[in-house]
Amino acid sequence: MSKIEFQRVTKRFEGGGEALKDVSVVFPEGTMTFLTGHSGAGKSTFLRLLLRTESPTRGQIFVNDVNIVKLPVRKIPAYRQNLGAVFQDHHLLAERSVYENVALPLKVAGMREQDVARRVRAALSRVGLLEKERLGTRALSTGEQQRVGIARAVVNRPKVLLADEPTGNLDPDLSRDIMTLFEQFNQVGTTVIVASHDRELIDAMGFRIVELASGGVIRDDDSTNLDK
Amino acid sequence: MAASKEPWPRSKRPIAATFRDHVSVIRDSVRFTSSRFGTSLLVWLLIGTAMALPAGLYLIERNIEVISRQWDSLNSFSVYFEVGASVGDINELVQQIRNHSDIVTVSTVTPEEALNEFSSYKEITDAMTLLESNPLPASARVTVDDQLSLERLSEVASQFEAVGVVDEIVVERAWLQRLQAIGEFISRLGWVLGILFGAGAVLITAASVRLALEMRLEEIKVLKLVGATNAFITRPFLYSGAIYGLGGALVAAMVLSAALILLEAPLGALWSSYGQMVNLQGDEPAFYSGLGLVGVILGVIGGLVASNQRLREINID
Ligand SMILES: Nc1ncnc2c1ncn2[C@@H]1O[C@H](COP(=O)(O)OP(=O)(O)OP(=O)(O)O)[C@@H](O)[C@H]1O
Ligand SMILES: [Mg+2]
Repeated sequence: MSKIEFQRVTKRFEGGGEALKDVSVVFPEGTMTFLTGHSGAGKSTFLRLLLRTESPTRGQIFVNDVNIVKLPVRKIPAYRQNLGAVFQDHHLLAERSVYENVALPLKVAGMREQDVARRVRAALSRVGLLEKERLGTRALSTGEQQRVGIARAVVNRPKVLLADEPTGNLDPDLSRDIMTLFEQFNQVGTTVIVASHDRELIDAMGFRIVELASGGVIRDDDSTNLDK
Repeated sequence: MAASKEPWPRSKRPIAATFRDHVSVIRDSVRFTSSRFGTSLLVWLLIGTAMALPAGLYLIERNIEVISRQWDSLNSFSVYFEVGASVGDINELVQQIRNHSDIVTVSTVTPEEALNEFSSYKEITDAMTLLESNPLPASARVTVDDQLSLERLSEVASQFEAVGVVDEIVVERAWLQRLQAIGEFISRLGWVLGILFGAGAVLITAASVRLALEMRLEEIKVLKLVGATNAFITRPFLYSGAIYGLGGALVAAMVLSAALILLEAPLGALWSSYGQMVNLQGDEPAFYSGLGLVGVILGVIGGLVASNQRLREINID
């Protein structure tokens, strides 16, 4: 369904150093990969480039052989509608209910109200928040907010799922549960990339691990990607 | 690989979806406006005031135009004879006028006819019964050639001014042309003020929409992250703008109808003294629909100004 390829991608922030240095990685379609590395290694930057909330300083990023670095601005919304993203800082609407937050991608995609309700409830029950759908997101614990973000990322059955520290605030049982959810999406063909520094969890999952350090790939289970 | 390629084939967004968006956005915008009624009212009053002045000038100009058209004396002048002038003298002069090459028709009104005409105005007849004799003079309405310039018309008219039986000669066209010139000036003024105050209304809406936008900045960022188009994001703000503009137009309409009601009576009195019936223009649905439409357009422009300016600043793409 969706193949992702970073070709010699460098990202330099103004006034900062290089968050990514000449990174080349391929994620074949329908695979699930963990992106790991110390804090500040460049994991979030990596995912933001894929979301096109940032653009690389050098290099190309291909999604299904289309260079998304060159994607015209007017095509970005349609591109993002096919992505599901869990953000490290949640990005929820504080003034809206849990339900409305999760419904957002479906409303944006123009889905009918009945279908929206069905899909939202399915996603919420999957993350165990069905009984909190009417609550405002401010009233939730950090872990609950994280799960709302996860429900919102999967509700539109994205072709690519990007998750930035999705289990950062969850206990081990819930973390396992969320990973199983991602795995289920992967099993139906979704390309999944999860950034996490929970080594224990990702080792237990048994998927491919790409490790970043100071903006460079230092370890990749898939040896074809190792840039040494 | 074509330059316009996208990673995934685009799924067709049904027309019904866009329609649903609009309906729900209208619902949200109305709710948003009414939830901040105090602020909304203030904005409406501001926009209404800005719209009322040029719209009022437009109405004045239109009424002047209608009045001048009602007046059928563009190519004529009136001769008022002295009270008590003899019929023989009058007829002699009328004959003299008729013989003038520029003159087309002359119709005379005897004092008795004039009195009859006035008897339709009850108060005046009541007053006149107190008088022993008919105070009205005989008069003649003189029609000249259509092509005659105002200068020539005045010249022709003044030829008869010195004649003994003539009390006064009135060239209505001079008066009328002055009125038309005033109308023209008011029309220009209306345009200038219309552009100025229209821009003012746009800026007021833009500032108000901008405020609403600022309150929802987080939401806009999140919407962008989940793939909302700019059209989707700006839609609520355009509707808010439209609601502000429409409310402003409503205020302007109320101000103008109140002004019309206040002015109709004194203007009626003034006009009837010239023997004209006053029928003020401007209380018809077309004018008010036009006002509403202008309000909505100004409001939407204000919304566009605010959201385009702000969305460009939100650095997400
Ligand atoms: N907008 C920015 N401006 C300047 N520097 C930035 C910006 N965003 C990230 N960086 C820098 O880029 C580097 C990589 O940051 P990034 O957020 O990708 O790390 P990370 O691997 O996600 O870390 P963490 O595990 O703490 O989330 C860091 O050194 C950070 O300071
Ligand atoms: Mg990070």
